[in-house]
Amino acid sequence: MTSLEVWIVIGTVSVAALVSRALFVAMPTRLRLGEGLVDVLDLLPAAAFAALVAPAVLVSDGSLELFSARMGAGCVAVLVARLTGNMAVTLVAGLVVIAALG
Amino acid sequence: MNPEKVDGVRAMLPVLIGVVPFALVTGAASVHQGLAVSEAVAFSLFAFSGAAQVTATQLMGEGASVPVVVATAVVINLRFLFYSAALAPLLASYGARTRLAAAYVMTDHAFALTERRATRDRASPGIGTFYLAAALTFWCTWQVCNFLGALVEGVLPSDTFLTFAVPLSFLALLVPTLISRARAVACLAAAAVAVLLRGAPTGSNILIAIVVGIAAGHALRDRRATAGRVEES
Repeated sequence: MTSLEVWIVIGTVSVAALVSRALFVAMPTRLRLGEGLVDVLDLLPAAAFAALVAPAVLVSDGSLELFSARMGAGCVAVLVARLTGNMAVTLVAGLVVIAALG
Repeated sequence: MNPEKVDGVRAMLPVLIGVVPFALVTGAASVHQGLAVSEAVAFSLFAFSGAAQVTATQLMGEGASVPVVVATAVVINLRFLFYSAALAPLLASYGARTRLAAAYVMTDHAFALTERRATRDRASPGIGTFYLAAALTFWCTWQVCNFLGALVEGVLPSDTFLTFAVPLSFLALLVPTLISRARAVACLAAAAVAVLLRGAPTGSNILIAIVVGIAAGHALRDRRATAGRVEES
């Protein structure tokens, strides 16, 4: 990708991000979300993070790998996250497992 | 010193343990995928979104087209709409410039901490200050670490286990949000589709996965709502 294209990406993503963030916080709160839209937005973080995590944990070089060090670290991280609710501990646990399993 | 400010910084400090590797890897990965250090810094400064930056730069490195990169990054960042709607009432009493700043520094972590404080503890009218302090703490740390990561990219081994800090961070953010069946379904559906469509044109599997995930979670909600009404009648 050329430098110009990179800056186009940065520019558009930045504007969109700020608009998303500022739409309700910075703009007049007369804007009301329809209930249907609230339902959809409610599901967005879960769907987005899952879509990002799953391939990173389960896919290696294009092929599905269900029993890998990443899967092990991921499972441990999920467990620790459930048990502790602490982000730092979850991260450390996951990194320890993946460092140990190589 | 305003106690809300102190609480905000204190609440964010342990989270930073996870944020530092995430930011370092984001900066390093951006340069690794072909961005100049200035571009990596600009991405961080203007877009200020680790998930979008990591994903966008990875897609760029894999040769995805500009529209796909932009669309994926924008959709990933649409979750800020949700956070914005939830935070707006807490920040309503602040001035316009403060609210704009509050919007700019918004992150998953600052939102999660503030939401937890608002629901669990007795939310005081100063909770907006708590949020700002937490978010600013994160912002400063992020900018510095992203820059450092971009700088030392050449020195860091590129396949270090530390890069796994990025998906781990997403996992750590994802798990606590799965408080409803609809969200769990959305999560599982999105994960399945993202993996199943891994051969699809670069980046489109993520986009499609998010849409399908939301549709699945929404469909479950509709079914349960309908079933509830039938039971009542």
